[in-house]
Amino acid sequence: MTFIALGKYIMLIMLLLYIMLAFLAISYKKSEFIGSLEWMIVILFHLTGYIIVSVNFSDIKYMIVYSVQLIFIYAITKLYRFVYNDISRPLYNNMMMLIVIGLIMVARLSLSSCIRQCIFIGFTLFVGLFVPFIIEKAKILDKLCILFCMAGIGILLLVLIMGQTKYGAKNWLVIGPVMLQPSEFVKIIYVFAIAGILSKRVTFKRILFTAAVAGAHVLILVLEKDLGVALLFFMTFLIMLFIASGSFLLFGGGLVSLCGMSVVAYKLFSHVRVRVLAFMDPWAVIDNEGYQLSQSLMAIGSGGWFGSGLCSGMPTSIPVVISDFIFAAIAEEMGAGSALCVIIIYLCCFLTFLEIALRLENSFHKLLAMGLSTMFFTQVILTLGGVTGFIPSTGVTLPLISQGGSSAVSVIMLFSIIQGLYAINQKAAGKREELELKEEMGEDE
Amino acid sequence: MNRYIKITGFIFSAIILWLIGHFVYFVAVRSQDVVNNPYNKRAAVLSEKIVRGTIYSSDMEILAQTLEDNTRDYPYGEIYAHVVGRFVKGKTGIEGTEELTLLKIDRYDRETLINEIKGIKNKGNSIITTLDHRLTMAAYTAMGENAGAVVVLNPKTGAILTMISRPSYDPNIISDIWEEINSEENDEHQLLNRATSGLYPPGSTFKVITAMEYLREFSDEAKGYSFKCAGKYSDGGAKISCHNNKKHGKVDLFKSLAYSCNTSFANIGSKLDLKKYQSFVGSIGFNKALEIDLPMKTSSFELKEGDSMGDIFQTAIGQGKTLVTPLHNALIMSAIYNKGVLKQPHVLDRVIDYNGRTVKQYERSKDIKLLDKDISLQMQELLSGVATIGTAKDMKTHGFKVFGKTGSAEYDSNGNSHAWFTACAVSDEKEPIVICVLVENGVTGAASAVPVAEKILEEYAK
Repeated sequence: MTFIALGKYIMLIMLLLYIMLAFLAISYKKSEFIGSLEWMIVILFHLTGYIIVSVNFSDIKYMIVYSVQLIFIYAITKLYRFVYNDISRPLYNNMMMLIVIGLIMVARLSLSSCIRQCIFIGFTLFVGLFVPFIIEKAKILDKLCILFCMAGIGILLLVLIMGQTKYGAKNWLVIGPVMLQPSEFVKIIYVFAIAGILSKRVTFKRILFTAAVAGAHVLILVLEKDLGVALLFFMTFLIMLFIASGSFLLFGGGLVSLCGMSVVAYKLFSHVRVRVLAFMDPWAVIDNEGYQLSQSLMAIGSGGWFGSGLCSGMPTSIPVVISDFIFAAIAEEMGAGSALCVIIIYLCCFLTFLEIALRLENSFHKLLAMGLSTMFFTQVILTLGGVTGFIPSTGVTLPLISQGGSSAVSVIMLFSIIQGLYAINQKAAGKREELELKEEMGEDE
Repeated sequence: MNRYIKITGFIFSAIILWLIGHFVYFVAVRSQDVVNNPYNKRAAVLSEKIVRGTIYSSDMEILAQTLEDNTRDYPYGEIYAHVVGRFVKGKTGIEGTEELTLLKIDRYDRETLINEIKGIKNKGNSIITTLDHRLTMAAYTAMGENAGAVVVLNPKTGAILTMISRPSYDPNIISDIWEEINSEENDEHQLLNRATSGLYPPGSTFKVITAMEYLREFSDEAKGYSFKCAGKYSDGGAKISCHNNKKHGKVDLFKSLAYSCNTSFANIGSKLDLKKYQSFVGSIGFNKALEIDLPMKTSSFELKEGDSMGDIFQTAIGQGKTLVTPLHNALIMSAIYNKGVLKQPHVLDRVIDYNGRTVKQYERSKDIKLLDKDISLQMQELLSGVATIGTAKDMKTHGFKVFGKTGSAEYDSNGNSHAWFTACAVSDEKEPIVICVLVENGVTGAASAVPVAEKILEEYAK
């Protein structure tokens, strides 16, 4: 029982150690030692979390689910290392750490949701195994941009016509027994499309064309009332345009027009006004508009720095806690300290993404990496900010942690693509070294 | 391109650091105020792991504590029942609003950790209030069997030293007596905190407000105000008389207040601009709640242009449709002391851990500018006659300089009345205190309420 009582501290210490290692890993990314230590913490953290949940609920089912997860994680990791000698281990570890935190929290909130989540994650990790290979071999991806544009707009239009509404946004597609959130997949296609167009030459005509493509995506999302995702798409376009063109003027202009659009959205949509109202003073409208945010803030506040301990809080009092507001549940039960560590792991992921982007030589790849990074990290900021009352809530999920199949699939894909880009970079670097080595030897002769 | 990638990295890192700062600030500073919310249902979950902390008076008497057998004990029973409150059968008082604070641990050390390992329940935060046990006991004893309320506070800080409401109930056995005190035959209203939520006609204590409005409107003529009291007065068909038809003779404003001369105040009332009168009374917390941190029923006032002279007379002397809470009356007196500034009234002082170390000092909202500075100073002078030559002249003031006002508020047509005394006692050695006493079914303010204040002052002077 001692172990259970101290569980929250043990988990916090593990997370603190982990983020120290994660920061070190950004500089010493080749270190096998740091990678192995990180991996060990991921495995121990996973085990600790599930033991605590299992004991507190006195239900052995959790341990069974855990065992299946462990076996799968072990196997897939072996496979990854077998198939690729070049994947970024720190990045892989970070991804797994976040997945594991999510699996613990989702299981604690709802075991059945967790089992479903496992299936999605497992499937995608398996598919993700081939993604780096495809990225590396398929040289024509940048030429397919028109196709990607049409596919993205087409899918979103389909949702607009046939989609179902949930929590105010029409963003679900029901095909038989499967419920999908197609915008999650369009996120990736969209980045490919924009990167393809902008990587050639940045002329005025091309800028107009990308703006039109991005505008079409954003417009359809706005019509679906999925404004959080619309904002993600817009920010991604803006950053990619900024990097491709190097124009501060365009960047500033984009931000100004974003402000303008926000005002229009505020005037036009009642649910935007509701969220702004809740953000301004959730306590004044606690009965209706501010209920969710107030509950979230009370959960975080009640947890304090060390948290109530897994299964000892009341995160279920927050509506939609398992997806959009899962960060509040983490803060309440694992503590604000652990929650901070989670934010820092996201930051480490982002910094590693940038690191990889900086080293890439092909401008298409560079833009691709940056587009995906922006998509990922903007989403992290939007959801964390919404849950903590930093910005109005936008209703997007926390990547890798929130429950939600489509979201899990799309984010793991995103990580796999960046791993693929990393592999390309490593190969190029390897070749260069070889070349340099030859030259040196030539000089010796 | 790399340059722009780095710029992007900086922008995003800055945003996330800002977010982290916001999050840390929220957890470290803001969360205390946030968790104590009736919508936060975590008390039941928390109390499984943490023992509710203790509530102390400012002189470290225990007002509420959790015993070994996990029952909540209120050593002084009904004396503090309203202000300390309860968390069973509804959540009231400090037990209600600060429940989550009492059920949280804000400072961990080795001992708390060891307890956690051993599975021993840790004690949550404790709270030190501003309540003064000595004064409270003196006030409670002085009230005897009477129903009513007493509020004692320090006007310089807003700290409430005593808050009593009678009849009261014993919170130790609330579950057992719940049905009895809620039965229809029971008309004693033990659960009502009369100090903050009891609305009473203010009687002559309202003359303080009428006088202030007169000073506002007639600042030049007020000094030379003179009225010949013949014990009775009539104007425009309306009649009014002084208490026992006593003739006060020629009175100025000072004597009008000291003798509580009804006819003189009827005369003053008839001169007032009703619109200004109403807006002034509205500005000091009638009909519109004062922005204070404590929960308080809003006092009411009704007088408009076109009302009959009789209504004006009655309202000016506090017998109209006006209703006021004892706390509100005390706050007005405390603003008069403080040159018009109302310090936020408060009961909570600080949070300590199980070891007595301060965890947090309670913060208060901004002071409220309630009255005009000059008028407050004039009022201090004008009200000083009450305790020297006026209705409370027999009061033993124990070396304090006292200014205040008595009142007998008739609440039905049979002449039954509530007795009021609201006053401020000042001396060079001690902090000033405001005492407001209301005795239901008292004889007069001087006969029933003043002696209670006297006893409190006697204890305070020790």
